[in-house]
Amino acid sequence: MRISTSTLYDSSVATINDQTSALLKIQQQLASGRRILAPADDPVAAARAFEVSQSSKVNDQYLTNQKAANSSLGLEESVLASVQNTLQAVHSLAVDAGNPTYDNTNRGYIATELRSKFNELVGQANTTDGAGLYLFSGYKGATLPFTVTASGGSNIVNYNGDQGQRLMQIASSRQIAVSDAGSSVFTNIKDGNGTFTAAPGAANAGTGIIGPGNVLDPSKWAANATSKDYTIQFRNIATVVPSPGGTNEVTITDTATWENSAKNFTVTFGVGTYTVTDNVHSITSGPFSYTGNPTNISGVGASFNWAPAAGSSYTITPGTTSYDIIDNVSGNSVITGAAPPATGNYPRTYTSGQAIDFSNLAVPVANSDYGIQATITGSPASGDGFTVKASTNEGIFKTIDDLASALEAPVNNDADGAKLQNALNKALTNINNDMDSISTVRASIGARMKEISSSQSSGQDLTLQYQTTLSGLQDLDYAKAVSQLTQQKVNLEAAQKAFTQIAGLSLFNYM
Amino acid sequence: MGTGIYGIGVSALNTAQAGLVTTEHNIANANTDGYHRQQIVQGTQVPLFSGVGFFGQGVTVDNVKRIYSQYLDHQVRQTDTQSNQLNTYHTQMQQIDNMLADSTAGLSPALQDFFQGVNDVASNPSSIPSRQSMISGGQALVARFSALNDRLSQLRDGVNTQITSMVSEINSYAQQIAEMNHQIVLAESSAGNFKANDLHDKREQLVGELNKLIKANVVTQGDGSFNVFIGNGQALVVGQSATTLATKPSTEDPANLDVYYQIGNSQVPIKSDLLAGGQLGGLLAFRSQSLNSAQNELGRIAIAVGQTFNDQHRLGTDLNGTLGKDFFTVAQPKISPRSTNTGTGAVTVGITDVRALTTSDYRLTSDGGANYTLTRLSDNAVLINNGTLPQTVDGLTINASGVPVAGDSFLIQPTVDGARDLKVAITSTEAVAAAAPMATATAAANTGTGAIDLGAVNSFNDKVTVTFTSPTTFDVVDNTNGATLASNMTYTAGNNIDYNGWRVQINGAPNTGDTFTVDNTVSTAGAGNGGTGTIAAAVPIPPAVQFSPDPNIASPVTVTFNNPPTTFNVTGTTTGSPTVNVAYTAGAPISFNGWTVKISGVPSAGDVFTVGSNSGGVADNRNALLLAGLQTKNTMVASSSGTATTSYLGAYGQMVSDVGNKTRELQVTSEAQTTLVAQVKQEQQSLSGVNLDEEAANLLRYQQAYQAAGKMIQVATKMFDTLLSLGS
Repeated sequence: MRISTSTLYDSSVATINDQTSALLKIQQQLASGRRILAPADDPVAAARAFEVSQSSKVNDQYLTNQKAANSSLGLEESVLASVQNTLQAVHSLAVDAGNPTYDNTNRGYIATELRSKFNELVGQANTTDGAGLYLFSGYKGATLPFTVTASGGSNIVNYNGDQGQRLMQIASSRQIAVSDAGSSVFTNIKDGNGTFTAAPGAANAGTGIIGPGNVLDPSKWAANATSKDYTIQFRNIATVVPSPGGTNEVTITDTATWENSAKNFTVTFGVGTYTVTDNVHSITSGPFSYTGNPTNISGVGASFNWAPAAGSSYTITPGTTSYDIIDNVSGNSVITGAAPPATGNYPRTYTSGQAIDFSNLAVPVANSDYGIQATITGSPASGDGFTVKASTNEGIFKTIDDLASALEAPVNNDADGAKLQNALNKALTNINNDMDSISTVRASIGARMKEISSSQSSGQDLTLQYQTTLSGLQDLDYAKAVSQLTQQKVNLEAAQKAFTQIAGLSLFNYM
Repeated sequence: MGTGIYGIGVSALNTAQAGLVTTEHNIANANTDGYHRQQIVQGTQVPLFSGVGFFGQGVTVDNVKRIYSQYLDHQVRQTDTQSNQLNTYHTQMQQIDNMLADSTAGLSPALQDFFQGVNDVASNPSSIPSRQSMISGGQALVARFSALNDRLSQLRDGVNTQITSMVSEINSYAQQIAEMNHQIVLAESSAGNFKANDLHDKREQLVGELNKLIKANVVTQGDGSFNVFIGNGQALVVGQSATTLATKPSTEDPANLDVYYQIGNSQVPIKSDLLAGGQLGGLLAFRSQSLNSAQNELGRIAIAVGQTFNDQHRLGTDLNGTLGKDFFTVAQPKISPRSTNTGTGAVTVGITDVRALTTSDYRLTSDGGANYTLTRLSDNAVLINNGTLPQTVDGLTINASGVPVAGDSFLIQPTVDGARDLKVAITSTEAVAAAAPMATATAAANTGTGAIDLGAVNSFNDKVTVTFTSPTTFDVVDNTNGATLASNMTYTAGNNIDYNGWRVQINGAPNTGDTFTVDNTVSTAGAGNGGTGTIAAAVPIPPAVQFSPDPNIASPVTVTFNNPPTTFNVTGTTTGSPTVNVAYTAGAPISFNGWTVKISGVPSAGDVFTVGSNSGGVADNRNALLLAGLQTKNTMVASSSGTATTSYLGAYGQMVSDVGNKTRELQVTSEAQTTLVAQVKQEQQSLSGVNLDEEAANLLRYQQAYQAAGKMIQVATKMFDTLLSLGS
């Protein structure tokens, strides 16, 4: 084939140009360490690198969020740890207050200490975080969550926050709560045993003490106990000789006096007066005057529900203590389904310490069972009542305030003693509830922190994986590139040498 | 005989001399562009008859021939014009490719930094530094969009400048070719059949240069002059006269320069897609196929970021407890009336559904009356065929006013300014809407275990279906969160139907089972509807001018459980039904007043849950979390079913991949074309090029012929001398 001289030059120059630009590209790759200098070098890998780098950056963001979540939860956890310590101290004080050798003054000291613990807890509940926001005010970070107002000797704590809970994105499909509203930590804690709460009536004159009670079957309580507001009502009717007949009866209305007495008296009536004879010690006291129905017979603690005729006399010895369970909404007995009898014994007989079963009831249907049990010890007076209601939210602050108030109330007789004991029982139950609640929140915080830490380690693994993928997509294989560089250099040198030799060939050299 | 001998000798001398001259001409022009080697064609002279036959009379030069193949030269021009187009396109494309190459300077780091700021706010919603970092991140993102867009605009300006200079070069070549036509005709008119070889070379060289700029077809005329045509037959050179091309702003899109062709006194634009080949063709193809779409793609991402972020931001409340404003200012579609429009028609275009946006431009043409035709320019699909406006197509709501004249047209570029015009609208850190406008609460006196969740705001972009349960009643269901917004509502034609912050009216007589949807604030009637019901376009509930949450979202609402607690009553609501004896299902969505909450657990009779204002909720980060979630949420490029298929960065990755692939494709094809050009040129050179070795040999050949002819004359002289000496 005929070759024109300029073709010879042109093609040599073109080849050398190609080789040089290939060499330049390898040089750029080596200098930058990147395989893909522009998306055109490998469009698929370049687009994929964008996706992977976004995933990697988002993953980094999750790691940052995890750290922030961890520190928020850590702060909350440390505050709750000290709350729990304070509650422990409150618990010990409550136990200590039950010491029977303590007098009113001793109890006053304990009450003072409790009040200071109370203030300590309010302070802890109002803790702020590093940014000056309150930890326990929900979304209302700038609002003081708990404020105290004094009202008639007791301190009422109001919650001013809301129930908001801040979430944080710690993984692509996981948002974790990094705060807890103060209401759920401090105030929304059920009292009593969590299902129902038992309390003595404010006017109780007897020495009956009620325990927290048991829940045997929560589903029955939920289904059968429709009003969930009951009173265990007591009637303590003495044995009277001769029998007064009809609806006339003598009830023991002051069991403290009765229990400490000989429990065997003869009451003899005159006109507007009566005398009392202690049959054991043969001591007669009186006459005492009365109007209407003779109540609170001196030294006996009994009441007559009629006005006996002058000259009549009755001997009073222990009789029967009975109780009824009354639905406070309907006013009817749930044992009988009817209105409780005005006089005479209630349907069930009371024995101190024996469980009062909310079963075999007539309401709502025959043989209904509410699935709960209450226990009362001591001697309730006639007319004493103990309420059994669904548990409501009480909260740490009210528990302590109630306890302090109960300790500040002077104990002058056995009835006061029973009141105090009831208050201590209630307070201990509720403090346990409070501690359980704080423990539950702390356990939940712990679980969340654990989840965060496992997210952290999987996040760090992911970071490594993304980096490996990215590196595979866009980083240069140096060994390969260096060997390519050498090869390309040899090629270029060969092309240059060949050119100079060919260009030197000319027939004119021989003319 | 004597004269014969001399005569032959002289003819041989002359011929050898001609050969030497031609060879020297070849050697001298070995490196001249467009030069074809020449050869003399020599032949015997007319023989002289004598009694004994014909005696040869020596040699003569018949012609000086150009070694030329029209076929090969045509091929060189064809492949070269193609190669120039591809090279130019590739060079331009590489600039976009390089712009996107730097992973630290592209869009992706700016987007990630911005969302880092948003996440900061989600972690510390009331922290002013976090809020500032979000706003600053937004400004940096906007700046990045703008910088990328500026680079693309510079490329567009560069294209315009180059088109202008190329057109003037083309004009100059056209002039020169016309001049050469003149010279060749002049030179050859008196030369019989002989060709003016060097003039031809020069003219063909000019045509070759012209072809590097634009593909030109040549038709040779009877008198030897060239007529040159470009485009689809526009005559650039006819005989000895050349037409002038001009550049002027396009009548359709004034940002682009178009090439105009002079006919008489008027200038007619040549459609860009007709001007194929050469560098000009490469530039025009780059502009129409790649630059426009790259700028539109970038703009679409900017609009999607702005619009979707704004929509979510407006669903939240700021530090002062007021509803969020727009975080970004988003670009409006660009509408350019054709400069030749004669009517007074005007067009307005709004973006209603950012998911459905394409990267195409659109042309709206009027029929002179109320009807318009809308063409999508990327695939020339006719989306509105002579129909009335307003209509919603591809996420755009198009409306027209004024009195157009038939044929008036408008270029609609929905996304071209997207990246340029994105701005941060918020300056105050307090205005960042990190909180939700409502908060939920459980009453402290509740005895059951029922718990209410934190609640969520129904977005006006939720897909909501209105289903007619009878011709006079309908149900409303939020398909996005599954909540029933209302059931058994009484239908009165034309009454306002207000949910989730929008208002529509339904008119006509719908049948039982007919459905209407409001999706992303675009209202449509179900495809299978049997009734005559029609739905009006969704508008914000007055007095709002922008879509925002339900106006009563923060009104206090109370949910109270009945006895038995299997149902509940709701008070304080404005929208939503039923409100009395609503059946309770644990964990089911409950939706009123534009919010949705879920109550779970076992509430007791009389238990109360409230939903109301979130005043003072400075530590609330619910909306910030949703804003942060937009980074990876699919918000763009709707599938045929209307579901968004990709995230912001996914769309950017797609753009990078498109540019990368196109650049790669051009690189490969232009390399192949360059090789082809080299091969064809080599073939052409193989025939027509000068080989210096060959010319050296020819020098020797003609030198020897000359020496031989000289010897012949010497012999003749000696013979003559012999004769003369006889006489002396």
